[in-house]
Amino acid sequence: MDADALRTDLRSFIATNFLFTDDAVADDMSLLESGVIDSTGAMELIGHVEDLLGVTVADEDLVAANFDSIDRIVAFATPHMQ
Amino acid sequence: MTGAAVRDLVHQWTNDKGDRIALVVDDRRVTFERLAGEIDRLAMGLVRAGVEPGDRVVVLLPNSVEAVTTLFGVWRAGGCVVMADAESTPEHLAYRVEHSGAAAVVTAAARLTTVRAAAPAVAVLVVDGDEAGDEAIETEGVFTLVDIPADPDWTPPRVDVDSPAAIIYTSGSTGLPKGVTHSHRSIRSVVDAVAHYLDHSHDDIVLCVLQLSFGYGLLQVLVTYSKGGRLVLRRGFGLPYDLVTVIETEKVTGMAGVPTLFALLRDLGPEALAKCHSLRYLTCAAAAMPATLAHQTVERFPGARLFVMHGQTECLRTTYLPPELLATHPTSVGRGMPGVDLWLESPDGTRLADPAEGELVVRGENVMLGYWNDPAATERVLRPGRRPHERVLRTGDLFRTDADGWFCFVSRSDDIIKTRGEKVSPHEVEQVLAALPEIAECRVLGIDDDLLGQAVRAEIVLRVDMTLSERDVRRALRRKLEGYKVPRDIAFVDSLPKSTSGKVLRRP
Repeated sequence: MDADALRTDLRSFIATNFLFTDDAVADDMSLLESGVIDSTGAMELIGHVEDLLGVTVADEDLVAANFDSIDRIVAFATPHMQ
Repeated sequence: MTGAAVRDLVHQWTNDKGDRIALVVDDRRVTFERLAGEIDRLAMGLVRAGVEPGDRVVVLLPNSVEAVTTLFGVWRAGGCVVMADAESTPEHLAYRVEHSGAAAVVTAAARLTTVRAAAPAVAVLVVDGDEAGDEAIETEGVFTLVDIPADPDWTPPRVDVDSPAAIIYTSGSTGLPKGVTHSHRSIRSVVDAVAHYLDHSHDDIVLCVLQLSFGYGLLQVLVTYSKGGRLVLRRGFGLPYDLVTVIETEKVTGMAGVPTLFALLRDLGPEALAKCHSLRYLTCAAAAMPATLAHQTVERFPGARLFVMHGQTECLRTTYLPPELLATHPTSVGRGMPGVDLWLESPDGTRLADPAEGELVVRGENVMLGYWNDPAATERVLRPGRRPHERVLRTGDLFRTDADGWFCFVSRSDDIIKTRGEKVSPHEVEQVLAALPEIAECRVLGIDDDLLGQAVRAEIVLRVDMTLSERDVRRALRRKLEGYKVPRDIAFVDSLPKSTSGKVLRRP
């Protein structure tokens, strides 16, 4: 999987699981502050990324700086992609 | 009642602790002196916006320095505060403004358009007008704090401690939200009782991730300041390691949570949890803490005492279980806190002797004045107490007591599922489910069914990388529960609907 494919997947995962309207989420939007996801939603999103990339996110990486927007997730995940 | 009135909980420390840090929000650190000054600027701003003693003021702000200054500012202006959920929809906001008969709304520039649309007729005070370009904002009915100087000589109007101090809107299981109205006295009585059993002091540093629109969140602020401690406020739980970092860097000593928060922290490894060694206590209220999760939390935070408690908005807090008794009373929420008398009643109002099962009734100064503008609903749950200033509340919560008078939560009366003529407590089924290591979160509810009246349904969120079959779940439940309590429907879901305070919602 490459960064573009991840980005597309995340948009669709968020739209399917967390959005109940047709509004799209901007890639740089804070998912927690905007209320799109709560903490358990964030953990679910992280679990999805782990499954997708076959990695386990270390405790110290469970921070908003890595997971609070689609852009941040892609930036965090890129080094983990083959 | 002892000590300062609730509105003066910050001001009481300006003389001898004025230069100590009272409030930390992200990168902002505010001393008691500065905080008191900002509170009074806010109060003066409200007065300029036309707020008079007794007026209701709706606050629409996320957890922030301004949310704290506004809370106390409304009180210092003589008003009654209505903390709205920061994510309120325009309809929710309009309902609170209209139902409370608010004279003003306090908000941030980013929400001004929403507020004006939802409440066109009331004054609006914008707390961050300075940053947002003042004149652009100051139009008819919109006020800022821009040219209000700090004035240490400003004196607040007198206020009657038995007058309404806060209206907390609470969504019942049916119908429109009710405005639970507390007086300065009722809030103060709870603050004193909680500060006492948590053994609070000016050395405490409390991390609050709960919304201040929520009684449990509000109490974090008030209990901390009642003893001159420091509050570290965050907008929400956020991600687990961010919380660990805040606890470590701010040397947090106490944190209030709901089961969801403890479930998130439970999954961290020992190295991360070791960074939380400054914590001396954790509290859990607002939703029933599964006994298994309580046990795991104690294991993960060996240096912290875990207080399992019960409360409801109408009386803020009722019980706590002394942490030393958690091991021997794993399903109990304890006994009445100081100054509060609790007992169980049968449906016909007979007081029951322990051991018993019945509706929890509360007598004390902590009981609300009533539901705002709703005498009929108030009359259904309140009656006068024995002493002046206290009232007796029927909580609508079903409890069991053992022979020694320890209370165990059974269910909200409204949540009891009636299936095939039998009564099922969703809480009891959830306790069994929550004990399964594969399950992160669950809820059990009744869904309408032609044949059964209601059918029991379980919705389960699995922990990451865990699997569990429906058959595994049924087998585990059947070992512990009667057959009629085992859910007919078992659904594995990605998430559960929650209120903004993190409570799992009970309705389908």
